[in-house]
Formats: sequence, structure tokens, C-alpha cells
Amino acid sequence: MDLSMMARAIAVIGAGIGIAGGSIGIGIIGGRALDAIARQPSEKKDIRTNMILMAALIEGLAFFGAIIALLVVFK
Amino acid sequence: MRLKRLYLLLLIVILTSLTTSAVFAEEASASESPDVSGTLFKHVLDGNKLELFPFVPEITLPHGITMHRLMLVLSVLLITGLYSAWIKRGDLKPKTRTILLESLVIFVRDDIVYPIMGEERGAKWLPFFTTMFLFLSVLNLLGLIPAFKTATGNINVTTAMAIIVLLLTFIAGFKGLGFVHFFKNLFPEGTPLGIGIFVMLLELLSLFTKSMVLSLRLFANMFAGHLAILSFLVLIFVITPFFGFISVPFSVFTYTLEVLVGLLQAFVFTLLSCIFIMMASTPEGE
Amino acid sequence: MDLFTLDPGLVIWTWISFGILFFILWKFVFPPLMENLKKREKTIAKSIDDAAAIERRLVEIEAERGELLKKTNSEADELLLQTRSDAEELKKRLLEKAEKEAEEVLVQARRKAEAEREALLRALQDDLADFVCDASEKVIGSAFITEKEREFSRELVKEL
Repeated sequence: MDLSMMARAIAVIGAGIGIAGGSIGIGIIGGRALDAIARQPSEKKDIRTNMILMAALIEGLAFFGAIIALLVVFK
Repeated sequence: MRLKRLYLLLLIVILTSLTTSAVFAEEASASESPDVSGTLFKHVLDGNKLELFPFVPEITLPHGITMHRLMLVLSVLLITGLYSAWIKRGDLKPKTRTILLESLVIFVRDDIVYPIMGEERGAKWLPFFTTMFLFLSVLNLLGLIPAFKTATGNINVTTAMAIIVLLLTFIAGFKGLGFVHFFKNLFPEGTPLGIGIFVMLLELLSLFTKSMVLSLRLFANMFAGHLAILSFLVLIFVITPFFGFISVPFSVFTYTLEVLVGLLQAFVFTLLSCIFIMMASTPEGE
Repeated sequence: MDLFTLDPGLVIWTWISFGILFFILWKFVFPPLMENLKKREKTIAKSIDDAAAIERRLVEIEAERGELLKKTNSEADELLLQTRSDAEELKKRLLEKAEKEAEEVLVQARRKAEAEREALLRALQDDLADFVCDASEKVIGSAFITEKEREFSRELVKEL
């Protein structure tokens, strides 16, 4: 296994870790949002909007990791 | 009756599996060693070859037109054609197709623009966000049709959209708050000057990163989603042709998921750009 | 891989197509669409209001009708009652009148019968007296009986 292959493997592992972190965050947000909706169904719309906003922000960070890994893998 | 239908479904699955296996096997045998990533990316990346059907020779598009540009034009034609053909002035008893088109606008109005911007400002911005939602969702879904490609799976397209949002964020901010107040708005109140300026710079930077992440999200979702459909199929000629029995149902499942994701990402893009524009153009604490 | 290659042409194409789409939707599609939505909303609201008003009116009319029916019923009852009592009275009066008349007729008839009988009796007495006189004349023989005797015999018969 040459060095570039090694670098690619490490990049893929890094992307996996990054996405795992993002998915934990989104999971927490989703669970809390469901809790909140169950407690106050009348506020569903606001909660959903905020949930998507927060999830999107976290997702953005996860994408940074994924994109950097992609750059390493395909360059 | 139900059993009969089940058998029919099974037959269809087996047939499609075999056909796709055959097609991919042929493609694989064309090049001596199976070039996995090359085959994959040929179906996702931009190109000037229109491949209508597996055994029909591909059409080379005229100079200056690539598949993604064709998709952009096609989506514009599709949306304007449908809307101008099916919506008539003073139509009090609409048909189903008219209601379908109107419900998309109502969805953008009632779920995205009005809750965030309020009715007064929202009415002014509604055409823009509706256009954005329709444009992006049609681009996302066009990529799911065989022989077509996803224009939003190209980072240039999504970045162009994000740049529009970024410019509008600044324009709406300057218009709504004034040039000086816009920057003062980024400055957190009641903090020492040094930290305040640092936070202000961060906030200013976050305006750019938020827009860029907007484009990255759409690009990565579309790109990865369409790649996932193909990846299952590519396994056929990486492992064995008979793997099609497993990978075709999986890729069909991913395909249906992609329909959902395509609409959801258009929704998220529109919602987030609406929130960014609103956040930049209202004073802090409101 | 040309995954992240910059393609300014595509960016410009995107802007242009988005601009054209936005312009067409904003200029030609949106005004009629929003107008339709607003008009339809108004029409639906109006028809719902109308339906509610009609419902209310219907209930009112129903109530009015019930009241009217009740009133008419009671009136009819009263009328019937009055008519019945009127008829009763009339019947009574007629009956009374008839009775009176009948009695009168009876009395008259009785009186008449009485008079007739008396007349008959008188005639009979007369006839009897005559007959007696004649008979005694015949017995006595050819000698006629005087008027005075005749009178006397008549008295006699009467006393009988």
C-alpha cells in the first residue's frame, strides 16, 4: 500500500468520524424537537423551522469534513 | 389476487435486475479493467453527451451546451410552460392540475415565507422564494429521470444560487437597516471593544460561510444521493452479475428516498435563505 | 476528478436561467395566481357565510312555521268547540220549539176532537129525540106530537 492510498484511507476514516459527530448532533436535535412537539403540538411549526435551521447548521460542519475528505480522495 | 400481484412484482424485479446486470456487464467489458469510479462519475458529472438509451448511440450536444446547461434550460421551460398553460386569470373552479401548481406556491407561502417574514414583507419576497423552490426542486427531480443529469449535483450551480442569496442578504440588510446600522447590528451590545470587534468579524464571516454551506449542502446531498443509487448498481460488476438481485431493490429504495431528499433539500435551501435574509435585515433582539 | 472544477460558464447560465424564470413568474404568472387565490378565498368565505345565514333563516322559518301551526291548531280547536256549543244550543232550541209546536198541535187536535165529539153528541141527541118522538108518534098513532112535547122529549133524552 503506497502513501497516497494510505492518505485516502485516513481521509475516508476522518470523513466517517465527522459525519458521525454531525449525526449525533442531528439525532439530539431531532429527539428534543419531537419531545417539544409532543409536549406542545400547537407550536409545531415554529419548532420544526428551528429544528431544520439547527440541523442545517450542524450538517454544514459535517459537510466540511466530508468535502475535505472528498478533496483528498479524488485529487 | 394479492399473491398474483406479488408474483408479478417479483418477476419485474428479476427482469430489471437481469437487464441492468447485462447493461453494466457490457459497459464493464468495453474497458478492459473495470474502471469503477470512472463509470460512476460518468453518470454524475457534467458532459456534452446525451445518452438516451443503453444500446442507442449517444448524442453529442452542440458546442457550448453541456448536460447541466441543458437541464437548467429544460427546468425553466418546464416550469414556465406548466404555469402559464395551466393557470388562468379568474379561474374560480380549478382543475386538479391547477390546484397542484397552486399548492406548491401555497406551501412556500404558508410554511416558509409568511411564518418567518410576516405577511407584509413576505408578500414582496414570495415570488423570489417560490421561484427558488420550484427551480431547485425541478432541477433535483430532473436528475432522477434516466438519461438526464442533476444540475444541482454540480457545485457551480449551487454556488451560483448561494451567491444570489448572499448578495440579497447584503442588499436586504443595507436596505432594511442602513449601511452603518447593518454593521452595528453585528456588534454584540455590552461587550468590550476588542471582543466586540472580533465577534463582529466572526459574524461577518459567518454570513459568507452560511451561504457557502448552503451551496455545499445542496451539492453534497444531490451528488451523494445520485451516486448512492449508482453505487449499488456498480457492485454488480465489481462482485458478480448475480448481485443484481440484491442491489436493484436497494437502489430502487434509494431512488424513492432521493425523491424525498430532492424536495426536502429544495425546501431546506429556500427556508434557510429566507431565514438568512430575514436575520440580516432585522435589528438584533427582534 | 473534476468534481470541484470551476466552470464560470455554468454559473452564468444558472444566473441567467434563474433570472429569466424569476422574471416570467413574477411578471406573468404570479399576479393572476395570487388574484385567483384571493378571489377564491373570498368566494369560499362568502359562500360559507351565506350557508350559515341560510341555515339560520331556515331554523327561523321552521320555528315560525311551528308557531303558526300551533296557533292555527288552537284556533281550529276553539272554532270547533264554539261550533259544537252553537250546534248544541241550536239543537236544544229547535227541540224545544218542536216540542212546543207538537204540544200545541196536540192541544188543538184534542180541542177539535172534543168539539167534534160534542157536536156529534148533540146531533146524536137530537136525532135520538127525534127518533123517540117519531117512535112514540107511531106508537100513539097518527096523532102528532106538538112542538112543545118534542122539546120536552129532547130534554128527557138529554137527561138520560
